[in-house]
Amino acid sequence: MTETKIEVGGFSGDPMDALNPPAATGGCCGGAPSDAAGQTSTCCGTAAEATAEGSCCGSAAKADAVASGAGCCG
Amino acid sequence: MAPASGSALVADPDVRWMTSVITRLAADDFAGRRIGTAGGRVAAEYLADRLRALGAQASFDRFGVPTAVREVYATPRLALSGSGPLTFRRDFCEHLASADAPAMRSGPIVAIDAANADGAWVVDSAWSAERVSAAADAGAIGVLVPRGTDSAGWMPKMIVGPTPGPLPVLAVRTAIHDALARDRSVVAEAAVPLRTVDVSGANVIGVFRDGAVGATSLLLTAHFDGVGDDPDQRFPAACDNAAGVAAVMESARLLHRSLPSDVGLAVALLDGEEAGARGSANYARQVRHGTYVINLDGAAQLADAAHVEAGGPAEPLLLALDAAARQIGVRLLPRAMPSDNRRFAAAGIPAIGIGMGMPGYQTPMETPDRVDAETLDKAVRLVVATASSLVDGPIV
Repeated sequence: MTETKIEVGGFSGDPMDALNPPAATGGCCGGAPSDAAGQTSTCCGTAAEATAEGSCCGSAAKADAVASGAGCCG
Repeated sequence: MAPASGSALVADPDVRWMTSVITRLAADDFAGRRIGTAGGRVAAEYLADRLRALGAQASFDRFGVPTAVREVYATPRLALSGSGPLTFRRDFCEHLASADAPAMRSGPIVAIDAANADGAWVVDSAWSAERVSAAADAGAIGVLVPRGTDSAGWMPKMIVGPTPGPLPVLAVRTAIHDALARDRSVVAEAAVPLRTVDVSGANVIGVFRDGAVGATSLLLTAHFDGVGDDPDQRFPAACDNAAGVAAVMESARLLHRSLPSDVGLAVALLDGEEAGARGSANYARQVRHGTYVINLDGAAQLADAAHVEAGGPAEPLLLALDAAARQIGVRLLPRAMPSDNRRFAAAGIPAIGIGMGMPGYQTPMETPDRVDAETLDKAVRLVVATASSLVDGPIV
């Protein structure tokens, strides 16, 4: 008999994926929920982009965000 | 495997106490806690007092902000012929690259490529510094660009953006903007009182105990600042991020009682996150080697999963978080968390950012009643179990 283990918590995949997560789809510093600022903003970009800029936001994503009127962080 | 010393909470999280902290931080006299304001300063004093009451040594870490903050100092106005005044932050809002234009400016609406823009409000499909400058050269009196709203019809407020240009710029709700682009017979009248202010901030640091030489230290962080009230509108910032602040302080209280005595434990309640994570940028330089950072930004409404971003040499922290989340039953999703955690990670410090929901994000709807008690409880359990697992190994 095979037992099926149901995972109810933790990552569903490799926890190390969190070191390089998908880009933000909404909001700015603070990570808005997707149904909040997401309609207008692709703010902040990836962590790697932000680190390269010495900021918490990537400049390309920031430019897109301000173009849509959402503003962005540093 | 032997049971870890932190395998169980020494007590349940005190949700009532956390709710009282959130309600206080969201109160009128703190005025939305924007960096550099009186409300922000009294919020910092309040938090230092709370940390002392929990047994920490509290101090302030002061810093200046190189990025200028935009401040709405009177309610902007926009009226269209035929439809009357529009509602600020629902029908329109300031664009952060707007010039300060407190006096009403009235003129016809024309397209960005119109042959004659002299004395007109220009409708553009998106903001561009170059096109705004060109419009100013052509004699335009302002620019209108489109913007969407959140699901409740609000335009979330932000306070830092690109360098202000030569003209007032307003972001107008997309449906209205589309109508203006089609009907050029409308006359617009608007004022945008939006100034640039230099600010300084203060992180609130609470040290519960220094770690022994070579031992692990934990730094729990959450930003306490908000975008600040508008002149005629409250922005209580209960979810982003009074909830995170309360959960981090409660986590520290419990960990102080359960962690081995050689493990360092401190809390940094950070200022200036909404101005570009400036407080964490300053404090990250002072964090010593061997410290692990857990940042909580949003602990108000856990939906399907908590969002997690890690940076720096954070592999042990991620494994501890995963183990803790499995024990507690919180699903985790790798997602961008562009918050203070990035500042610590950029300084080479292992850091994770955790997000557990911000209903009403940066709108007047971020009220204390929207902070879910169960989410607060889970946030504390997750942070405490992660710290315990990191120090002692996986919980059994």
